[in-house]
Amino acid sequence: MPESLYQQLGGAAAVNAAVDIFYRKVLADDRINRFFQGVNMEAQVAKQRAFLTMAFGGPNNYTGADMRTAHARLVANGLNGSHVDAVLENLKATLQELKVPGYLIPQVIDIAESVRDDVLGR
Amino acid sequence: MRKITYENNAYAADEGESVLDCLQRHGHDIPYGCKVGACHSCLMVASGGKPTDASQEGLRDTKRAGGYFLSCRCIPEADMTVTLPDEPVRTFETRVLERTLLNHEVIRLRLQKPAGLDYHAGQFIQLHGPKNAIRSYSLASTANVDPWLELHIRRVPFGIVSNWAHDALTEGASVTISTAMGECFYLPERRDQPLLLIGTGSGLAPLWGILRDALHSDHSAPIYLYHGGSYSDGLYLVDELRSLDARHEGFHYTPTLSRDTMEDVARGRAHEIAMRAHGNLKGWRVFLCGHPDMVKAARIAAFMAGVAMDDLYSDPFVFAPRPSAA
Repeated sequence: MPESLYQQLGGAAAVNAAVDIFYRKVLADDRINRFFQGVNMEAQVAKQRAFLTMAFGGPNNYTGADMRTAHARLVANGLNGSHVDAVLENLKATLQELKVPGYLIPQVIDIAESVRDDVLGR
Repeated sequence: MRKITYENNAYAADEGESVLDCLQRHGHDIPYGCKVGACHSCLMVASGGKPTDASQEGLRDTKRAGGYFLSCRCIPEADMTVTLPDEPVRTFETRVLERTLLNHEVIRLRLQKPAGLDYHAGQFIQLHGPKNAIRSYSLASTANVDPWLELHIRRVPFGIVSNWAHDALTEGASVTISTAMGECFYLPERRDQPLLLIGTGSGLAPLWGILRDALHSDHSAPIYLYHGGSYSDGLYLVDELRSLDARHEGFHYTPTLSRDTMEDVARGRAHEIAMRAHGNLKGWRVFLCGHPDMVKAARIAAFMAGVAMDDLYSDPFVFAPRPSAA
């Protein structure tokens, strides 16, 4: 059986390595960091961990309805496609910084991209 | 075959079966998510038996030391007794050994250490006061050094427990306290990691314990302590800290005042002064204790300066709501 994307990336260890780098990039990004202000950092990191696990092709319990509910307040506060683009950019930069092989990166971005409409409540 | 004890029942784990699967098979509702060790939803605590290394991978060191493990990743290698992370708190009866005023608003309370109460400096206990009020106070004593438990209690305006402690808790008084809790403490691993300790007000209490714990453990990298107050009468243990600074080459103490000037004391907010002084903090271990606003701001600042999330330890002192004037 061929290795899954999640296994190729390195599984839970890859999530552990990526979570700090990704979250730091998001907080430093003036296009999107206002959506993360005033939120408990530990709770936020747990969410980033779940998001990265999902994007890395790992097991997850995300449903479209969860994503809609979780982001509804942010959409009401102006969250739009440009902000999703920014998050994906930071995700890509995180993978590059971790020297993830180039051919795997589009696969991760594709998975993350697949939840765009749910996140934006479309 | 390994035995897993949960809520006073013992279950035999099948060959290759995880703690989570075994407990679920026996009808227990244990929270879980991914079952591959990524989401950390199935976190449990081993009070007996050592969790496997694989089940503690990715957990911060204080969690590992506390017996926390991911139950989905734990194929037991020993008999284990396990609980969910929010186990009920035990209490102890003890008595006051000494009460000393440290500054105009902070007392040092030394209590007899009850047998069976294990702790790390920097953890907190609950102190039971009058009117069924219970408040948390950090442990300023160091388990390997001090025979007693030490608390630093600031008199909070209208505070039920702090005023009682200041006015009524004299030598010999009986008190009820809880087991030690919290994850803001020092472990003598990675001794080559520089330490940054920032505290405001009686947030010095856990840092005083953590500092002495690290010095006692021969921490080899530099240790920086910034203690901030508003006015000059808000600092305490200044002479003791200056003397430790003079005696230990690796230890550096900086008192700060945000609203007052004083000789040999930096002017400004403790965490801002510390962040300016150190710049890049990649690889550092950081402890933040005291006012919730300071802790919150400093956590973000330290993280953005390169500190790994797992190397950030904090204890915001949250105040109980002020009782309404009835």
